[in-house]
Amino acid sequence: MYTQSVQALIDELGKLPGIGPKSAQRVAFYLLKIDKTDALRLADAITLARMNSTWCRTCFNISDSETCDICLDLKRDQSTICVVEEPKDIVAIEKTREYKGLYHVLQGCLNPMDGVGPEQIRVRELLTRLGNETIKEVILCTNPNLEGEATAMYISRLLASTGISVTRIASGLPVGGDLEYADELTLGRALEGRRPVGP
Amino acid sequence: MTLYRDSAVVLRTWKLGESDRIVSMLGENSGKIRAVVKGVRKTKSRFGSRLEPLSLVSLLCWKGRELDVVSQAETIELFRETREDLDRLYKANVILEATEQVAQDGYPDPELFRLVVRVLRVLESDNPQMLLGSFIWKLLSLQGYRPQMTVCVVCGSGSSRAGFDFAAGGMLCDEHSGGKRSSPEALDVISRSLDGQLAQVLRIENSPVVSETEVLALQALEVVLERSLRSVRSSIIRH
Repeated sequence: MYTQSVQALIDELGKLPGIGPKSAQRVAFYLLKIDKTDALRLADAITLARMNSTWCRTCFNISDSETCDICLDLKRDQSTICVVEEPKDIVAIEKTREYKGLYHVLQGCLNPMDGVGPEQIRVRELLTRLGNETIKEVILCTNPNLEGEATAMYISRLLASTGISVTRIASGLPVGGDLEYADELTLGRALEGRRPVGP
Repeated sequence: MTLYRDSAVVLRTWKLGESDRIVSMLGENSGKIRAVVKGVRKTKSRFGSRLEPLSLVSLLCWKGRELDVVSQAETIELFRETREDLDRLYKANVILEATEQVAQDGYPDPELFRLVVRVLRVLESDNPQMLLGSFIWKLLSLQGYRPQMTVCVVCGSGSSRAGFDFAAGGMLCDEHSGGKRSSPEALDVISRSLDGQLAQVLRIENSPVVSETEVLALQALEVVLERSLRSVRSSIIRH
């Protein structure tokens, strides 16, 4: 129906997450309509990002070099590691400006029903790293869902005998939310994790 | 679209799009339900943790052509002890995956629902060693895969219990057991699990019989499902 090159573009766009055949067709025609330099800039951005990006060999974050900027930054607290599931979680934590330590990206979480065990995520690399570095605290910052909690429990069990302080990110109510809509588990944990206020 | 209410156990979830999830549940009156929960992955979602696997919830859903849409969900039971203990969580994952595999879309099976809820409650309160094995035997029996446990499936003799072959139909006598030998204690436990003597069976403490019964149950389930359970394959989580 379409020329070979346009059909190839539609097919490739259709492989992207959340893009169906109809959306792929729409995006392809948009790219054909826009200025040629804009389309080529997009192509260059994809090529550059794909060619230059690699996993940081220390923390497994996305990086332009063998070691990422966070791991290279000696101003950061070198005695704390925050364990997250995905690189995008680092971005979310960095936006808070509350954390100045290092990270470790697991690149997934334990998911028994999908057959994802400890070998499929970067747990072994975390243990190796803890053996080599002078880490005093590991903050388990996996998602507060069943898989994330299981991953946190598994890692805390592995680290129990190392003498390193293992902490779990707190669970609680989102700021701006209504108490009446909070689910029982979140509200229960928020009450458990309450802290004194005032002078 | 029509609205319906049901009580359901959340069996499994999959991410969908930016912030949605598809949730697979076992409804008391609806059988297996597959529904979309919109915005559930956002921190301010009104569903929160209510539709995480293992939750027992009261649901209000819109009936859809392929997937339903969850409109409201209220927690009935959280099974919090199970969520916060790796050994219990391993067993819960096996229970949920086995149920997810055998339950049929849109085929009401209140007896299966009651069995799953009862087993999850026992897991939460006592976590008996024999729970997983006896649950799987009861599950298979409910689905119509009850093995023959009184006479040998080859010769019909009831003289001795020496072996077990689920694919062949059940118990084997001394003469026909060949390489499929099993302990008489394990065969007795299977028999009692199938006969509904669960209270007595669950009192059996950690012994070789527990693991033998569990292995035989998982092998039988593998024959029925024609594949092994993923949650068992990644069982390193248990240790």
